[in-house]
Amino acid sequence: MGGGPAGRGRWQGRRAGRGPRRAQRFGPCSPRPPAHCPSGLVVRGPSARRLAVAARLQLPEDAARPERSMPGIVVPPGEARRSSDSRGSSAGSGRIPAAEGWLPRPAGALAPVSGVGTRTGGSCSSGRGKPGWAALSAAQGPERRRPLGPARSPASAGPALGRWRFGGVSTAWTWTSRPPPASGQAPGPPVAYREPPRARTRPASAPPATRRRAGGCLALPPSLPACPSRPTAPLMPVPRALTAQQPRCWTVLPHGRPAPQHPAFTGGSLTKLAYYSTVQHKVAKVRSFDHSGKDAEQDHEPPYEISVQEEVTARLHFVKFENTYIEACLDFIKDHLVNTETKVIQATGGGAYKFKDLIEEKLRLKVDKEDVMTCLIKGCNFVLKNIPHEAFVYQKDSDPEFRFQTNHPNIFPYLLVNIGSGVSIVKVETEDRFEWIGGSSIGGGTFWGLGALLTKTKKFDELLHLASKGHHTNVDMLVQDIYGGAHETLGLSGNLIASSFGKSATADREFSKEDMAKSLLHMISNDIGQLACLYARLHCLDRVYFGGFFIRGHPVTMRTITYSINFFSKGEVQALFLRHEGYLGAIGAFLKGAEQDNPNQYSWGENYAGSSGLRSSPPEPCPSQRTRGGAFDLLEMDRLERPLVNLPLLLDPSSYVPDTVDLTDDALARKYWLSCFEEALDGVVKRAVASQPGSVDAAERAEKFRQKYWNKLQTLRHQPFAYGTLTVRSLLDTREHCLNEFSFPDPYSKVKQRENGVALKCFQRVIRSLDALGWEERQLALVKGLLAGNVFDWGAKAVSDVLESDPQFGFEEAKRKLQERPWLVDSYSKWLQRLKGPPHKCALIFADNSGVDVILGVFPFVRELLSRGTEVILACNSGPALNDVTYSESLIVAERIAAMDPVIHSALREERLLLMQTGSSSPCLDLSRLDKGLAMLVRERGADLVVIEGMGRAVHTNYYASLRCESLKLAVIKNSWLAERLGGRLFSVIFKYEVPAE
Amino acid sequence: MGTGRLGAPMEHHGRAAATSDSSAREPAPRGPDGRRREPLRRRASSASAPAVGASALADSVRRERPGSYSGATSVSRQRVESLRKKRPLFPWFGLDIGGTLVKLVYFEPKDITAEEEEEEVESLKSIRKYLTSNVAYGSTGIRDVHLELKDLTLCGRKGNLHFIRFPTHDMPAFIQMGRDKNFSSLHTVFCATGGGAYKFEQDFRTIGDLQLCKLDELDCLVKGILYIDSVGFNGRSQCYYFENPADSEKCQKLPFDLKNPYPLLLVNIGSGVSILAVYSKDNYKRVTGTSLGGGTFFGLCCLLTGCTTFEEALEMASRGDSTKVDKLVRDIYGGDYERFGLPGWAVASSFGNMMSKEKREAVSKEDLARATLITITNNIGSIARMCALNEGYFGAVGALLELLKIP
Repeated sequence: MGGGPAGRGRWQGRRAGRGPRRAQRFGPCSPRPPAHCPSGLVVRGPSARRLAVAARLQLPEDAARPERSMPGIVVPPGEARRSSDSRGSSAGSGRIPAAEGWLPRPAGALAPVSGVGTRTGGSCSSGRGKPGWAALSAAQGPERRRPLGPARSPASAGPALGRWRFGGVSTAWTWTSRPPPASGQAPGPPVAYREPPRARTRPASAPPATRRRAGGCLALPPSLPACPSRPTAPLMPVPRALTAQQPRCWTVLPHGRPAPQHPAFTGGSLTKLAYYSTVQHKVAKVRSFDHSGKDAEQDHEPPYEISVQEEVTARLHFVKFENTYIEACLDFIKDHLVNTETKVIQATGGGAYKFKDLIEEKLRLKVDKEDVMTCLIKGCNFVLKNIPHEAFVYQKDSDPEFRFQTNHPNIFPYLLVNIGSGVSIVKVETEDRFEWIGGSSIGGGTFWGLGALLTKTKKFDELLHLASKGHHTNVDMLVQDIYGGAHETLGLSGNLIASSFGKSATADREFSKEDMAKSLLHMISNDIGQLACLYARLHCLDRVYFGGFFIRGHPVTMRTITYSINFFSKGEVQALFLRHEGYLGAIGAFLKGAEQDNPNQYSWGENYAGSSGLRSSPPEPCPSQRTRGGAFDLLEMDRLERPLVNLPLLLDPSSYVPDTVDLTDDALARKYWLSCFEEALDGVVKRAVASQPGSVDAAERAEKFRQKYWNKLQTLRHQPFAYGTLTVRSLLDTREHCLNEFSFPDPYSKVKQRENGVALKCFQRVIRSLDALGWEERQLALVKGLLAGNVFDWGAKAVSDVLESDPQFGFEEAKRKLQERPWLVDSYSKWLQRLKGPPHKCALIFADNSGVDVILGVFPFVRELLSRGTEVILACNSGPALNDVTYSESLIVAERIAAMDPVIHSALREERLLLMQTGSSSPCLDLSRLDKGLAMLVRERGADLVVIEGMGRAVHTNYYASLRCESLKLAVIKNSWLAERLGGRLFSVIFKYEVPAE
Repeated sequence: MGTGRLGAPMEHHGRAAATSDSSAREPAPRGPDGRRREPLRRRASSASAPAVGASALADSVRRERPGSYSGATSVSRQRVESLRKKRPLFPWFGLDIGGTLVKLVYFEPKDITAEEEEEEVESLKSIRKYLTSNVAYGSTGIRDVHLELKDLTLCGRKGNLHFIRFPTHDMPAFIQMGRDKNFSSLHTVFCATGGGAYKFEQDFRTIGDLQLCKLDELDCLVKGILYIDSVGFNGRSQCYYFENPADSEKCQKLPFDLKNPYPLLLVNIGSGVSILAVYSKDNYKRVTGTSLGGGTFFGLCCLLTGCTTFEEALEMASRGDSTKVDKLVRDIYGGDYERFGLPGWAVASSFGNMMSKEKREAVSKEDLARATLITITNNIGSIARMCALNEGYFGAVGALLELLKIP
């Protein structure tokens, strides 16, 4: 982006004017706290800002960094390696060799980290670590099981916790503590980049851990009574950071684990913990060379350079464990609150009252109680808005049993039935307005308590398990028991329960545990459903969401509640369940604590790599099985840099479904795509390794990526609904998330760089030949160019095979591959006709691939539109995905083209061509989650044409999307199975021009 | 314990099946007002309610209630005449065969003339004697002496109304007894309602040689309620309510005037619970029901405490302390939860404390029984309240709840 300072300044200025500009928020010299700080911080007194800065300053900045130890353990002398502080070597340079950040770490070594002590230790090869867990794993070694000692440096004992939430089934409580300080990011000298994307990045040279979490340590000190006796096998789904060779001990337990030997059993309720961390991960950044002279640009030189930098993003984590460990947890927190300015801890939920004294005494902090219900509603609104496919309907005997709801733009009003120990029924009218309209004491606690009395089974999950095996008809008095066989003549269903436990009163015999548990579950579920329905009807609401930890995805419960609601409301009220029901309060409490930082201004996205999916089978009490599936054991949400909103041009945002095929529904397609992604995995792994030639552990990480993604695919094979509706998009996104997880931020960066370079060289030739054509011929050539460019898709196996084997495969070859007209879907004539009419006011173009696609396909097309007098908004992905062109790449490409082409140059300068980012990092396109700045610009400029290009954006998604303006969807089908399904062959062309009905 | 009426999710479609024969024999008297509005649900029996059994009693007696049917006096007198002729033969029984208990109502005529006594067959006499001279029958049958309604005028006859109950599982023995006492020779009609009327019809016919007249349960229920209230309880009101129920010191039981009862919500707590909205004496609908009823209380008590009778369960409950078992608001919040106006003593989670092993070991059987009772009654109250709100009236519900607690 070196050229045309005036032009650049203007269109970038525009961009910066909208939405928060990263440079301002995260810049090294910024007065504002770094990204991860705000919402983790609860401050009384000094402003968050000052504290955040303080937190950062607190970090050791001098070269002689103190050694870091694991939290809760004393690191034996010599164990901790001294940091090879790389800051000095790298900070000034600004150009870091990509490989440097991926230096392998010996497994088990305690890597020094700048910042907090609770950080990942052990092998960093997995890409990231969960600090405390790693710490604990270290603590497992008998020789290291020592009490907390003073050996930890202040920095290492720094505030590690974001927000914690503890609670009973419904009586959760939360406290918040200081956020992690600046994620181990020492404010080094300002990075010498000129372009905005640089702002929140820093050299990749910093400590070698590829990903870190500075905050949110969940570990408990090794002095934890129950801990040493615990098996080292994980009791929870293994977090992705933990690898097989690491000993693991989760002190943070899933629900229902036996908690032996602990003296302070606080009621057996569950604790939900929300914490905030910053995740440092690598990103590939592009920047153009600083050309000293034109001649410096040689033919063999790439058009721009790529550097790998570390970026810090905020991530929310949610886990749960039992209250049993409250004291140990407090001890741990206390140890990590040393030397922090935190004076207040926020707590909410019943536990906040119950444990208030304990907290205040132990931590010497004032407990600031938050209201449970407020937190709950906040959490519910949050998940409904931010997690696609959060809510689902449970349908018995249908395949799939889960039917996910698309995010409705207006979620209000609704009824929330929170089933904790008891039941709360809340009517939610707006973001801030809700009303507690009723409740019931018959809830999860009743099931657990009464169940424990009846069956002598102590654990909630075991009770559920019993229930799933029982037959309630042995215990309940049914209508047919009262009426004999006559119920049929009366038009009654004899299977209806007339009296729960009615038979146990009359029949003098023993009842099986299973039957009693089942009967109890039925009784409670029915009762809750009935009350919910009565309240919904009274308040004229037709949507009832169920939250709380009672349901936890248990099919029998959901079935009974759904049945009950349907029965009592005669189908008028819909029972909706939430994938993350148990975390609502925790999320809300967290948001509440972070209110001053206004987390609602951000959009959040579920991280598929880190979250465990919904399970379909009844919970097994067997821990080994639980570690595999886990119900809702983990949820991770990434804070997206920019708020996402609907595209204003959507015809009906409430009915918009981005995805074309629902793979949970379409078993055939599901089977194909899962296999397809499995088959493509080798290639992706190879590509990932190849993209980091200098990295020693790339192969190892790539292998871990393979395992991770493979496992996800297998999970999805058995539970297609694990992460909501399964779609090609979600499969692609999951792959991207997993790649990121193992520090392959942009495996195609080099490929893109090369292809962009090659294509740029052809640009002028292509333009010349286009200009030589007559008008009508040119229009077809432009469209063909777009389509031919779209062949260059590394995401398609058919193409990547060609590209891998034939580096000379070029634009002309691609054109020859294209299907001849008439195309598979062909409304070109209509389009041509339209072009003969008045020009469009403004076109919004969603670009697809780098290289030939964007440079030789899209830009000539853009150029033609511009010369017709149409303004153009070119929207590219914010983050990398496959070889899709990213926003920052598009800036460089545009700049380079502008240098060659006066049309583009003047358009950029005059802001008739605007480059924007979509806010997405997906190969697909969700028009309901687009960058707010883009949406505003679209509205402002009055866009009347939307061009969506590529298979991911125009076929897998949006194929059926209806817009309020004209739209052009074009793609080349690069998958023979899909082509066949659509009635064509490989390289069939989709050219779909649509005009909205008047 | 009431009748085991449909509880859990279900809509009432039941209609009184039988009664065509009985109506032919005994067309129910109709006042000028008697053109019944057809209730929301179709009721075959409503137009032809038999004169026997609890249901019919309501018709005749209500009429004598001052002011309830203006200008009906002369008609009424005529009807008394006609009744005398068409009066069914003794014995007069009403039977409600529920899921758990069989409720038997027996009218004992006290105005038997010598002439009548002479005519009276031996088996009839022995039945009367057996029923009235005992308070317990066999090992399980009980006559609720304290409920007996004295000096009642029914169909022009004066007498006492006796309330007898026994467990439904002893029904075969009861039928056997009927056979032994040669009931069939009396040519009486057994009017029965409840699910058991269907379930045991065959047995009555084949074993006892008795023809059962099946009546709709809800019809009978509404009629019975209204009748019982109209006659009062030996001079006192049948219907009462509790004033200041939340305050144990100020709480007192007060009579409730049911003079203008409609619309009312009728919560019938049997093994399960049926909730009826009654708009007039003939116009009602079943609103909903729940499976958490008396059967649940008793069943859970049996399982939890090992008790064997309902009385025992109730007695234990009266001595227990449910706060040891239930998790109260104050257990969670340390006091009142002001935001929602929840007092600290309110139950947040029934049996919630039983999640803890220590507390499980610390509770007594009485506590458990009490908690079970509280759980079930609270739930019924809550659902009834919601139904009342949904049906658009609220006032009488509390009172009715209490009314219906009369065993």
